[in-house]
Amino acid sequence: MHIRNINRRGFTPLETMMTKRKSSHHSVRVKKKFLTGFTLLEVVVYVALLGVLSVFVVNSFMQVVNLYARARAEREALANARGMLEIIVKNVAQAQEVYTPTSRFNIDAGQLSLVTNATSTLGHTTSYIDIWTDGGAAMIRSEGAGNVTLSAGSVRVTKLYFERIVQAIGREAIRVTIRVDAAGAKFPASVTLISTAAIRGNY
Amino acid sequence: MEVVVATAVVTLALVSFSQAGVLATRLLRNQKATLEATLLAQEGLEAVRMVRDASWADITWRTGLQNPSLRYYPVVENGIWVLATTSPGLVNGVYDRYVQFEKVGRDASDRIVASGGTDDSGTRRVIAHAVSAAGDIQITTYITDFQSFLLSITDVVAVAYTGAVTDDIGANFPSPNAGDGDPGQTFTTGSSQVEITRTALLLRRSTDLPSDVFVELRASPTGAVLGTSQIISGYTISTTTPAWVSFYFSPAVPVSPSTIYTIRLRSVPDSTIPGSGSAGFIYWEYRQTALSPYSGGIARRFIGRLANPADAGQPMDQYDFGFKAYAYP
Repeated sequence: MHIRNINRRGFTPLETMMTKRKSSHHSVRVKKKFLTGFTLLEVVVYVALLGVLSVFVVNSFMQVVNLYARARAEREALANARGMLEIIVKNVAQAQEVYTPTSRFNIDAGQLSLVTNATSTLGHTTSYIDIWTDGGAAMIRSEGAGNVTLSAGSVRVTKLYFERIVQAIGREAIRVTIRVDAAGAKFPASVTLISTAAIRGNY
Repeated sequence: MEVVVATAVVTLALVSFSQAGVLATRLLRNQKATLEATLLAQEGLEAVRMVRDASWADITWRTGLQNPSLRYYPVVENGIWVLATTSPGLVNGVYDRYVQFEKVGRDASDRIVASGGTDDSGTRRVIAHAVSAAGDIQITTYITDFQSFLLSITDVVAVAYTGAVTDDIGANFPSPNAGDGDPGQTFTTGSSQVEITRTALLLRRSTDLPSDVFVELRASPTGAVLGTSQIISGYTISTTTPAWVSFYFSPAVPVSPSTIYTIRLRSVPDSTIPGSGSAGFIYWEYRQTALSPYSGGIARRFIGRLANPADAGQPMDQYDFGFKAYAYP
């Protein structure tokens, strides 16, 4: 059987095809049916190609997803550490002095108590501020107010270390080390930031 | 043909996605590095403020040598910020952190001018650097000696023994998990009633990371605690030569005249408790003579050993540790 002008597509066609045949007088539409198939080689090549492609696509997709998850975990840790450090440092700089009886220095789960004259309590000239960690969260409490959580739920504060540096009488600074881990993330992300603030009572 | 095109498109998309992800991660790392460097530079400025608060003269001589000044490296040494002339090495293994000072000139209207003008001896420009492979983060600010116009409180030595010359492990402090207790020195106050602001002890560390230390002022070696000092990080104590390390009491401790008190050197973790994790060694310089070198008191060691708070330790009549007790004049 000889066929001309078959509109071939892809591999050997299996479907019913329409062909046009020109006679000397007029064009005649002839409908012909062909029953064809893949060769074994074609199937093997196709399946192999599909397999390789799928593996590559899925693998790359997983990598991209992982990359973004990692980036998000790092961003969370960094943003939290930065925010907390800023709040702590500002509070230290504004404070009048350290309140030593309730402060815990030089330990990983430290607590810092400050005496400040920035007070909202009527009739009081000074008030107290406590900063500490509790169950992986950094907390702050101003006298007369409730506990406020400084860190987001998506991170754990694994180190809040306060070091008291006394330069001279009444000249003190607090060195703060804060370590934040992305909590429960599949990808470990950890940020450690250190800063020092002099206690200078608002100047 | 279609397969090739499809593969190319999908690959291209995935490669761009992953590139975007890599870029995001790199930017984040850069942001982290910049933040770390900025904080270090800021800390450098805070250190300069602390040094300024203690002594303006400690700032001005640096521009006297050279203007702009040489590089000075802020480090915590013996529990206080100092501006060292030699580099302590890279901070966190990455950043070279230093500060430089410049003289400040003012015009006839007292405004700061970029160059020229009359040198204002009470103002200095400070430039803090944190240099890493990624770049140089600089923060510039001005500091003034306004503190010299305010009433500043100073203290003076009330009682002291400064003749300590022997540098060794004598007291085995902080005892490495052995529970060997604390060293102490008794002293007698003068004839007038004073308030003790701080004690300075002549210390040297013999290992890289000894435990952190603090001082208790007590009525007797195991008596009531009258004052507790700030904690000094062990690694900041001088390692080459013994140095006077100040332990401040806030508030100051009022003491009676002509009375014996005890300076007790303690550690975090506690040197008296076996297995506490305390690590040695810090040498408290002493002197031994047949007649006690300091007549007002004696040295003791092993106070409170083996977690026994009632153990007054071993009295050493012929020994005295180097100490100074300061008080308000």
